[in-house]
Amino acid sequence: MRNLVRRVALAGAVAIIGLAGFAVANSAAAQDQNCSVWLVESSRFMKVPMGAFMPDRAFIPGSTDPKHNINTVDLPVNVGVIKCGSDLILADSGWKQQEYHKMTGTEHWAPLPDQLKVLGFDANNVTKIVIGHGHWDHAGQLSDFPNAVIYIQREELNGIEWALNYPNPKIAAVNTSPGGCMRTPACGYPPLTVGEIYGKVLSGKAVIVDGEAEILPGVKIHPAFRGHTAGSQLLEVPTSIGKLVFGSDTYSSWEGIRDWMAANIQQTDTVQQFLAYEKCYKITGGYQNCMSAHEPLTYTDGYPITKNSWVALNGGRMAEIALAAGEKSHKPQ
Amino acid sequence: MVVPHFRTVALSAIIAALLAIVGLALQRELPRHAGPAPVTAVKTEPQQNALSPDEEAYAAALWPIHSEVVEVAAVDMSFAGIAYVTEHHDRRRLEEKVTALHDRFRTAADQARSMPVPASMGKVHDQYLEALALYETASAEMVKVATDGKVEHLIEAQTMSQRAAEDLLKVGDVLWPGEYKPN
Repeated sequence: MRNLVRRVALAGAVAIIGLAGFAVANSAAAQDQNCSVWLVESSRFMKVPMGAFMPDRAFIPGSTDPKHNINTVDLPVNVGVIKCGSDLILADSGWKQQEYHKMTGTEHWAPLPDQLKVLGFDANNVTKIVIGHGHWDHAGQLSDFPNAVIYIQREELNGIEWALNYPNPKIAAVNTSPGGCMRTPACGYPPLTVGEIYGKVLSGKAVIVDGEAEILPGVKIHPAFRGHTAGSQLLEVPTSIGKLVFGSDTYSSWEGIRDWMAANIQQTDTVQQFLAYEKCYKITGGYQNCMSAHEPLTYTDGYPITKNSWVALNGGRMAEIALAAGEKSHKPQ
Repeated sequence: MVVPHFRTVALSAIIAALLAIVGLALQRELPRHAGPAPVTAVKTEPQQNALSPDEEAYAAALWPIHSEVVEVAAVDMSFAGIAYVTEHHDRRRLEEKVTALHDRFRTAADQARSMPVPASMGKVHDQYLEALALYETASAEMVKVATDGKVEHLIEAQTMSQRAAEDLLKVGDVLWPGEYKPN
C-alpha cells in the first residue's frame, strides 16, 4: 500500500513538473519570437519649414546654433515592414495619390505594393496593418492589401467623429483652409482615407482597439492618446537587436525623442507626446530603437538604426533594421 | 606569295587599334536608345499653371461648399456606416442619418450648379458635379439597408463613395493645391 501511494505521488509529481516545463517552454518560445524589420520611404515631403515641423527649432537667419540654422527639411513618410513568423505586418501604410503629388509638395512616391516587391514580399501576404493614427499620409493604400486586418484605436475614430460634428467649422476634421490644415485642431482626414478604413470595416478586416492589445506574441499595441491625434498608438516589436517601438507621428522626429522636443504638433498634447517618448525609453532602454515616421535623418548615419539603407523605386529609400534568426538579408546586392 | 612589309603590318595594327578605341568611345558617349527607362528614374512632376483671377474667384467660391459641406458629409457617411456595422446595427438610425446626408449632398450640388463658372474651369466643374452626383447615389444606396438589411448596399455605396472621393482630390489638385500638408 505504501509503495502504491509512493508510486502515485511520484507519478503525480512528474506530471506536474512536465506540465510546468511545457508551459515555461511555450512562454519562453513566445517571448523569444523575434521579428525581422525593414523601413520603407513611402514618399518624401520636400522643403518643409523646420519651424513648422519642430517649433523649438525654428530657423533664425544667420544663426550658427545647430538648433536654429536649418531653414527647411525633407520629411520621409516611413512605413515599417515587419515579418514575424508567417505574419507580415505594416506599421502605417503611407498614402496613395498618384495624380495629385503637386498638391502636397512631395517627391519619390512609389506604390507600397511595388516597394514590398523590392523587398521580396507580396502585398497579398500582408496580414496586419497597425495604423499609428488615421491621417491621410499614414492610413492610405489600405485597399491594396486585401488580406490585411487593420488595427485602429476606437479613440481615434471617436476623435474624428467628434471633430466632424463640432458646430464651429474652424474646429473640424477636414481642412478648413485651402492652404492646408494650418494647425486647425482636428483636420487631416479626407473622405478617401476614412472611406478606406470604412472599407476594411465592411469587409470584416478591421479590429477597433481599446487601449492595449497584443496582436502576436510580443508584438504589442500601446495607446498614445493625444500624443499626436486623439487615438494615436504605438507598436512594440521584438527583434534580435532589442525591442523596437514604432510611433507613427507621435514619434514624428527621432531627434525630438532624443532631445525631448515636441514635433509635428498640429493636434498634439505635448505632455502626452513626451509621455509617449518616455514609453519608448522604458520599453527599449533608450531612444535608439524608437522608430520615427518623419525623421529627416532617416536612412543616414545620423539616425543609426536606419543607416543600413539603399535607394529603391523612384529615388525612395529603404533600410534593413533587424533580421530574425534564419532570415537572410533582403537588401539588394 | 608576297609577304607584307613589317612597317605596313605595324601601321595597319595601329590604325585598327585606334579605330577600335574611337568606336568604344562613341559607343559610351552617344545617347542610348535601348528600351524603357529604368524604374528607378526620378519622375519629373508637371508644373502647375497658376489660376487666373476668374479661376481663383471660382475656386474661392466653391471652397466653402467643398470643405464645410461636401467633405464633412462624405466623411460623416463613412462614419454612419462604421457605427452601424460596429455598434448600433439600427437600420432606422442609419436611414435617418444618411437621409440627412443625402439632402446635404443635394443642396451642395444645387449650390454648385448655380455658381458662375469660368469657361476654362468647365471640365473641372463637371467633374465636381459628377462627384456630388455619385455621393447622392451612394447615400440613396445606403438607405436601402433600412428596407432589407443587406450589407451589400453598404458595400456598393462605399465603392461609389471612393470614386467620388478620388474625383474630389483630382478637382482639389487643380483648384486648391497644397490642400494637404504633412500630417
